[in-house]
Amino acid sequence: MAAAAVIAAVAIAFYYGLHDPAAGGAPQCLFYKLTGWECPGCGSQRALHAALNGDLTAAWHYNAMLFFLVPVAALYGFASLDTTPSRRLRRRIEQPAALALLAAAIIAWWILRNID
Amino acid sequence: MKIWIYSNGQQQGPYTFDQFAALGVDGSTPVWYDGLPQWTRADIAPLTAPLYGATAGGAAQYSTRQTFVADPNVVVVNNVVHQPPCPPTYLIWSIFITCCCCQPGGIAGIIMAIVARNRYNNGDYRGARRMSEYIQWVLIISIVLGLMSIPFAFML
Repeated sequence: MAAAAVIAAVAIAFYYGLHDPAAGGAPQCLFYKLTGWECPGCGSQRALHAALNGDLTAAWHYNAMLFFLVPVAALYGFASLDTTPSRRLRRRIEQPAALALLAAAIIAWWILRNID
Repeated sequence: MKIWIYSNGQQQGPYTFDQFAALGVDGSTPVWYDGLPQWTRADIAPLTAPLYGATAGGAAQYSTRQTFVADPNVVVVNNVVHQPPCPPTYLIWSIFITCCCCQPGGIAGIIMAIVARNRYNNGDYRGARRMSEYIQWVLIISIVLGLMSIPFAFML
């Protein structure tokens, strides 16, 4: 399972490192096409391509939330591997208040990116 | 009569009946007092059920269905509830779907994780496990719908 995840991550990094989604051919967001509003994930593919080619400014411009969500997702993934009896890290970061903050941050980002 | 409650992952008390009434805890909170065979939801334990609008007869009617003791996963030793670890909440997948699949399923997954955690912290292990399974379904359906939407997005 972990090996498959690593292989998938390397394959995705290779694909997005070499291929520019802005040039076309990449999957596009149905929500954006239907409503004209960007979803919280819009720009992820272009941001990934830019970041893998060293252009962090462009990546930030395409989807700034990724700079927050990728480390947070890695943290939750790491905590779920914790099998010690107390599972202290998992209990801390999965407090209902912390999760509510995470959901609120995503929804706030979703609204704010469509305002300006 | 001394009443103990199990809340936020730990045993609290003892409280007198009046102190317990003043706490105003949720009806799903497990309570225990001398004479009660096991930890029981506050809204169905015979002593505290009237605080939640139940009649004595109504409390007796539900007592076999909703006591925590029926869950073989939850062990009570010296009146302390020992639960297995919280069921998985799949947060990494919820965040992944938020980033990639253009779906509200990711946010739904995070909110359902809050519900699962709240249930677990209130001693409702079985409810938390059921919610964990619902999260799994929401995430799988989100990924499938996200993949299915790709050709439609190209057509527009």
